[in-house]
Amino acid sequence: MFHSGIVKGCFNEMFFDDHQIRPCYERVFTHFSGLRSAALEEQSRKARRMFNRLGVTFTVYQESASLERTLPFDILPRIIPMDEWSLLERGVRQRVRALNLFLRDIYHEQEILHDGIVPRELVVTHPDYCWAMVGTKVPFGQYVTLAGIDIIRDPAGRYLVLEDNLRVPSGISYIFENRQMTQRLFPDMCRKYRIQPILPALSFFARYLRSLAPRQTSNPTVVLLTPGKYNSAYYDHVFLSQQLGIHLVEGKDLLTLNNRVFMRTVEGLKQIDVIYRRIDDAFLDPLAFRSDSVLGVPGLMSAYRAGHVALVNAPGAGVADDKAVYAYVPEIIRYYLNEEPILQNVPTYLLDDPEQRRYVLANLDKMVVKKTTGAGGYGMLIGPKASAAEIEDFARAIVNDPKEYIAQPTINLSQHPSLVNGRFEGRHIDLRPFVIGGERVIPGGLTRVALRKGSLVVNSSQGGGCKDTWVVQLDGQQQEAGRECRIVC
Amino acid sequence: MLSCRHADSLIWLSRFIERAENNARILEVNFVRPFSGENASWEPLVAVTGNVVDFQRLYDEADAASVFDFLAFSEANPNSIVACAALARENALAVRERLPNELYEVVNRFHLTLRACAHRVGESVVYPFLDLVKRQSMIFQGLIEAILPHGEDGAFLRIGRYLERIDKTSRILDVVHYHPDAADEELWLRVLCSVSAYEAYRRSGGGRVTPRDVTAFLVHDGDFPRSLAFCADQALLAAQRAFAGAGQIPESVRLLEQLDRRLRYTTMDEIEAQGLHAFLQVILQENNRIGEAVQRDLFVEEDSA
Repeated sequence: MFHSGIVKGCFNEMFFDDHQIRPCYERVFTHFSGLRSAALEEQSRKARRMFNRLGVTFTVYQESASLERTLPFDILPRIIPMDEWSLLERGVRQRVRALNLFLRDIYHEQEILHDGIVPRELVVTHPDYCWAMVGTKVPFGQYVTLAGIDIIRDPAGRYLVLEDNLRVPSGISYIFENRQMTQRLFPDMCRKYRIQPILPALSFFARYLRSLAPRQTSNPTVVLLTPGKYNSAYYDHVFLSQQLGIHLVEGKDLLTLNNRVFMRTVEGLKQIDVIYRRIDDAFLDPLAFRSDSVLGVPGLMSAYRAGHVALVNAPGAGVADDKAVYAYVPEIIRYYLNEEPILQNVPTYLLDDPEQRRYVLANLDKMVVKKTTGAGGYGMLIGPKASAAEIEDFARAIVNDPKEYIAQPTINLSQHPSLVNGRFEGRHIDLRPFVIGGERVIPGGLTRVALRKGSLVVNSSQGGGCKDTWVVQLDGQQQEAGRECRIVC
Repeated sequence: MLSCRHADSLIWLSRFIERAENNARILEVNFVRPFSGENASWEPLVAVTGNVVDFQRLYDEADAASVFDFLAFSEANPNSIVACAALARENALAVRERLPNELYEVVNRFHLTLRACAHRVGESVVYPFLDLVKRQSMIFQGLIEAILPHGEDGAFLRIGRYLERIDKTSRILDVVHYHPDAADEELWLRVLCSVSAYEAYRRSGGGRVTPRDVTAFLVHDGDFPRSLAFCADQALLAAQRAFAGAGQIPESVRLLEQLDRRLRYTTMDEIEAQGLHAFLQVILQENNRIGEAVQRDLFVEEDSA
């Protein structure tokens, strides 16, 4: 049932090249091999039904109508052995710590720009560089309280960072919902592993948010600011406010008075200390940013700059997850932390450099090209899969506005067996670990699966699914098996 | 600490669930246990749900099929069972993070299930359909009692529930006004059944089914959970709890006190003297004003902390 899953030229998470099973997967393999294809399909349907009933859904917009969908859930979990995870964990923590210092710097002394490590123009002319943040004191210097770092594996099995998400990264709820679903569907199998628990990270997050309150109070009021129930990530917002025990509010529930933010409650106005906002910078405050925003709170930025409320993540953090700034992150890590980057970047070509541009244009059919400000898998070119006309379009766009684009060699993402029509076939995956406060990483993270055969795009807006992701501490027996295996290979 | 928007959503969530359940009870009486003989009249059913105009716009005549479709499924009728389930779910979604997951799941399933079976109900499944609606509502009410903290959230849910019941019981009782033979015993039995009061009425000593006794029971009984006096009393308690932290006494609480007193102290002789229909119209108006007052109490702009 599993053997059709192995494809040449990319790393397979479950099997060695010679079809030997990786030791951490042995028990899962045994468990699933004992199930018939019809039973697997039934479990898969059951998961979809349950997600539907529980309302674990997201909204997609198509031709003015909005449709509620469940995120396709692939029942075969992804397993990351503890030793690999420790490396990943240290790597993403290091990265977020450095990016946080970078943000602090570019909105204050700008030493990294003076020293010419990152081009000044790239930062200060960036559309997400937030002038209102220049010189603004941020509570406890925390710009990035929640980060989602997208990780892929190259054909050699090395973990590489593909992208940083420092604005309002979403998807955290699926980590927990997927775990719960696996436990409901396969309780016996789950008991055979020592899976690192994920819930404690949420308690940490809850404490962390409260600790950011600028006011001296034993019981700060924390809210999650959502665009509302029609937002595609609304379930994420609901889940987090439930788990963190904070209020879920919309802009119209809040108001500002004397540079303080209040919530309209049945008992009158209550002062707000910390706002975990899940709306974009541009919509936060119609007085400071887009004046047509009805999602935000007039006067919010003024209250923030006066130091009476904490905003999570800080406005203007988006400049640090830009795809062009990304190319400089290894340097940023060395500059602030005086450490070597633990995780490598995917090689990235900056297209306003004439030499790099020439090379990329000559090799477009082997490249992935992305808009520097793009997200969600929209507006990108995957050279090897693109038609001649698409390649030509992108070539023209790049020449017209080289700064808008970056290019990377197409990396064949690792594959993982996924249930497709009752049997397991290899599908490309990535991983988004979430880093809280630059300190704590939720063990595992969200594994996204490109469900279309051969596709490299994992975004849920492009038909991607997800997997439960385990970090497991291998026991003696499994480690033993691993040694033998390595000898055999 | 409950935001005003959430309070509003809680009220409407429970009003719409209650409305769906009441509609199911009314339909059950009329469709599962139809009037014997020629006496079936469908218009009053539409009048009970309050939009005769909508109905006339949509259907040529009032018969079993059109009335059932209108009250159970019509998307053009904002008070049809399917529409109520959808609106309940909209409101549950808006206040979702405050609801226990089990409670949201019930409301969500209610909506998804009804949407899936809308317009597909033949004669043989009328009863199971209505039974399903009542059952889902009961699970909803049960979960509220069983796992929702009995603080502000519960209080706003109860306000919605009891204001809705006052409305429905008044309207059902008022149906006799539209009926050709207001003294017909079967008519009054059906009134009792429509608010599921038949057994309770018998047990309370109502051997005879007379207009005066049934009216007295449904207006004054202090124990039956759908009588007007009981509902007003509960709504008042709920509002007092809901606005306990609000400082001055809000308008809605004052109006509820008035309604509570009116229902408690208006005697049957006084009701008969002014006519049941006129009395119920006053109750309905006051009840509407209370609903509006709650909105004002929640959304009046405050200018100081």
